[in-house]
Amino acid sequence: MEANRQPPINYIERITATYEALGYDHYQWRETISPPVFAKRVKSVSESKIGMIATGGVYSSGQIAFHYRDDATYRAIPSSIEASELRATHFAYDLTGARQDINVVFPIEAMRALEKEGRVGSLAENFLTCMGGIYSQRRVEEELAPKLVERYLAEEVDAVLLVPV
Amino acid sequence: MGLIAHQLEKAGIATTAISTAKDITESVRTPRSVFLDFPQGFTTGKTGDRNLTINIVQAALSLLDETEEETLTTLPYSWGDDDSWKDTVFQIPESGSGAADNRLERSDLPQYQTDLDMEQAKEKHAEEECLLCSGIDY
Repeated sequence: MEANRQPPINYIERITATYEALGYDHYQWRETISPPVFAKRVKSVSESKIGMIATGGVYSSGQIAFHYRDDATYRAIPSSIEASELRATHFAYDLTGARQDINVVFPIEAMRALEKEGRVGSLAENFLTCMGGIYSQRRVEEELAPKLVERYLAEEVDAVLLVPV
Repeated sequence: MGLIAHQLEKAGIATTAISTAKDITESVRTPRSVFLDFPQGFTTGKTGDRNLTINIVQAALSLLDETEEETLTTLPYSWGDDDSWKDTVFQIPESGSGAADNRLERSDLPQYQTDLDMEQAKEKHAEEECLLCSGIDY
């Protein structure tokens, strides 16, 4: 029998329809018209210092957890931390997998394995985490994103792996 | 995540992303991305499958060396033997069906995974200034 294969989910269409049916105001999806800017790459990944930014609401034991109303703060998580010290909190996705194995939204052990194998030059001192699903694009653009950029410029990171949820 | 990618690139820091939402990534136009056709909440693999996660991360990182053009590559991994998991994601409710918003309440209090986390965070921050206010917390 043919397996039931379907094309990728059209999230924008499905989410828009769902929340319209629930009576919410129309959400303005971000649409980028102009082609993206590319930073000039000088070094290969195996020579680069690599950071990671994840939006799955990850924090470590002892840190203040994220809240659920347009939280535009971030947490700096040492790239050497034990995975067992990590937690996940979020209002918009099923946390079951992340709480069972944080690596499905925050692949910290894979990053360390790739560094050990020499496929990544080195890791940033800290990986950065924040909340996804921030309703205000202005707050992401003017508050959150500049802070993340500033942090990674200070850590002299060459390139960043982005892990949205 | 698109906004963050664009600001990093403009500041000279290259980015590569892993996406489970192809249409959203196409709309925000992150410079380099791999698309993984998995459910939301499993951006970098399946629980307990370390090799799969390493392969996914490596695929995303290799785009940094391989391309300087807008790229969205589909990875060859499937969530299950079929795609029936997609049938229940953001199902469009029939009007009058009593559909409800199943997201959690939007509170502005920290939402801890466990009570112990809350106790540890309170203890650690009891005598310090509000680090949260500055957006940084070690």
